[in-house]
Amino acid sequence: MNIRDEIFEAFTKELREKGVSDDAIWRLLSVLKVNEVSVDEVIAMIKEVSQNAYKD
Amino acid sequence: MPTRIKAIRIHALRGVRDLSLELNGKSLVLKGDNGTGKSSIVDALEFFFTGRVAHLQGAQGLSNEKYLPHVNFAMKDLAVELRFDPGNILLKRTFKDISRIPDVLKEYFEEGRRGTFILRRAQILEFINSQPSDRYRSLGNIIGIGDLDESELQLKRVCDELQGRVESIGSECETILQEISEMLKGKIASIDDVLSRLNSMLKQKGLPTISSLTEMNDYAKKLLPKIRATVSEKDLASITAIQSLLGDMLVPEELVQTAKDLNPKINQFISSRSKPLVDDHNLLEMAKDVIAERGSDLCPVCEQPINRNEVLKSLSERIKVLMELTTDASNLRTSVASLRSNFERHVSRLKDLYDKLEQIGKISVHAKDVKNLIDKGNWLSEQISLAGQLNNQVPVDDLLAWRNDVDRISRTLQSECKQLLNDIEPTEEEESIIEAVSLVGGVRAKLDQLEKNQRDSKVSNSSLKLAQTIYSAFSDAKKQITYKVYSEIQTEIKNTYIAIHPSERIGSMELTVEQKRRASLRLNLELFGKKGDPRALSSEGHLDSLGLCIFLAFIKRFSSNFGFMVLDDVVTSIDSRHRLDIAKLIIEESRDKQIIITTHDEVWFKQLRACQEASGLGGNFVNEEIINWDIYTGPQLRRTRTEWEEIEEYINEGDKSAAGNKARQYLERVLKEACSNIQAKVQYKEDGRYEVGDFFDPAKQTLQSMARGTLLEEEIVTVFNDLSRTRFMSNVLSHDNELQGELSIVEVRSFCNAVHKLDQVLSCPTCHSRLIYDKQSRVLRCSSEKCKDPIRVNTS
Repeated sequence: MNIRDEIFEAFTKELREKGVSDDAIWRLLSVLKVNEVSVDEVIAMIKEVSQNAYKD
Repeated sequence: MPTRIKAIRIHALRGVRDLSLELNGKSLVLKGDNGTGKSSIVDALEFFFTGRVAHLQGAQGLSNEKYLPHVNFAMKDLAVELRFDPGNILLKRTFKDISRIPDVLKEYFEEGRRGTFILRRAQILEFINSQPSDRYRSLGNIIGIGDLDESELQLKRVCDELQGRVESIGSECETILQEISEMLKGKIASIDDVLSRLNSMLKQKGLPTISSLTEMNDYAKKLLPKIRATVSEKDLASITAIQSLLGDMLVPEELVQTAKDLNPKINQFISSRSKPLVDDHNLLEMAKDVIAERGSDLCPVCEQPINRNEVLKSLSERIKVLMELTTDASNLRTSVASLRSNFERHVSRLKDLYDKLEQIGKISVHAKDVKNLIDKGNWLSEQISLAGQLNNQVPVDDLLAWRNDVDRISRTLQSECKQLLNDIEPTEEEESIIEAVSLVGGVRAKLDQLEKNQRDSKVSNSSLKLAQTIYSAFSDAKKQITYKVYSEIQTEIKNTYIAIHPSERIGSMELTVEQKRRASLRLNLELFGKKGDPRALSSEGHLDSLGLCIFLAFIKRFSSNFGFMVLDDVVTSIDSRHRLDIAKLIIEESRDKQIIITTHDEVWFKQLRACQEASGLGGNFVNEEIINWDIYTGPQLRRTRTEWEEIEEYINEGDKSAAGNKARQYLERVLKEACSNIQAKVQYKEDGRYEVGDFFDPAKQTLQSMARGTLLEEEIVTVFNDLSRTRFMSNVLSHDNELQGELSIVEVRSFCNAVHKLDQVLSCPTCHSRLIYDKQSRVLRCSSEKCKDPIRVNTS
């Protein structure tokens, strides 16, 4: 595994431990792994998932 | 069989018009002066594997689309083709797409896609000049996670932006409650207080009261029919609704004042981006200015060639990222986000007004002015957003002019609405109804805003909480993994560093990510008993090689299966002694990797070639020189040959003297290395001027003695016999000797062949490394630790 993958794996693990849902994590990773994402795009995504971001 | 690049073809990319490189799976050493297209070839490889060239993208308006194609070609013309073995697979990358990657190459490509196989001069330079907090980022660039720093910064900006929105909504809610309090002439602390207070006012006027907040919406419909029909009921409802909106239309002076207060802070930030570096590193700033002003491609300190634009770009980006991460910048972004959010609510009210205006014929003439104000408002909103990125100030004059225009049109409309109502000539009772309808409509509009804000606040708060969780998780993960990786590779870095600097006493070496700070890497190096930041202990050349060692250690840790590596002009500031050690190290790496090395340095190019020969790996390399470049033809290459290839060519041309001379030098080198490797006793010469004769007999006697009774014996005896018979020719051919004419080309060839045969006999048949004598085990063996089938001859 390369260092980027290791970082993203640790990031995912930490989010899971904090109770963030797999769906929200998946949406987040699909945005973060793309180059040159704008702040507005990330905010739009976060707003969209924030209502159901945490596991029940 | 590992994947190797067989050929490279580049078309219309940067300084290359058309270029074909036949590698046949070999490594490449490419020498060329600055500006002759070496880095264009490296860019082409990066583009091929990753689909972009990172250093030509992102900052200062740079883009691959704009700068990657050759100046005389369009984007669609650009193409890079690589042919791979095994399988003779041809793949082509253009801006549009890349050929389908066959399954057999998928893993190889997955590794290459990250672009971490390239080390450039600019990355090393950045590493050398870094301070601890910045070095973390510069190493990030070397190991290919530089863009994750940018992602981390984006996530921080997201938190700041959302924090600004939350604060702005909170403040707006308080303002609305204050305004409702003023309208209802009594303290309103929450929505629950509104109905009782409003009904109390309606009762005083003798008007019907309202039982619920939703009933407020129908209040106008219920009361307006009581007014005489001189104006339509619909118009009357719209006019009162417009009046309610106008009551809230004025842009407060505080908004403009906030913008005015923020601008000096933004300006200070823009103008003093380099301040922290100036404080700690005056020399760096001076060098930056000098490099920028001189327009020269030579370093002002050491006069070594540099890529000026890359150095300046690298410095500016480094400073920008550093500064933007400061708390001040974060606070400033939050304040600007709050201003923007507040401002956008005023623009949104204008939009509501525009919709109502269009419904009333008598005042709809003003709709166009309101539309213009909305457009100008949207533009101002964008400007404020840009100010939030700390690139420019908020255009206060435009904001003030906009506010005055809103104020003017608001007063005009208020006056015209009043006139329209006066035209009805209302009775006292009708006037009371109109006032009450306007009041209820106004309060309802405020409540709508308040409820919307409360909904927004809920979403923004949960978004902010999630954004903060994401940011801290990302930042922690990056720090934690980077630290883990640094810990794992420290021994490898140290060993590689010692191999380059064998005579220096390096105590310990550690890379530490400091926990107190967001992203800070401290690199400690113990040298000659002193421990500290390597900048204080080592020369630029030492840091140069340290950066290279870190890169090599990362490659070993993460790309061991990839088998391809590019070093673009990486040893500029290293002195020739250490350059030789680096050359040895890199040539050694070529045993299990295909490497492309570019350099403008003639000495290092020669050292690399000498090391190829000395290690018996000459056959693994292609050595090329760029002999000319212009924009129309691009780089023109000339292949440099191995010693043996040169000799063969002289023989074929019938040039006995040149062939003999070269063969003599070849023999001297091989014998010298043999004496050293087998520990043959050579008579010491004070002047150090050794010749073939000084090495011949010691090498012959020692080798024959070692090989006696072994598989090597016959070969060694034969080759030395051949040399004994023919080596007299080296003297005849290298001096102006009358006997030269007596020698035939066949005789000269026999001497040259004998020298070449000796070279082969003294190399491992598997990996071509030199044979060495291991005194402890009493064996002649292959010198390479990596050889898959090393020769081993027992001499005891």
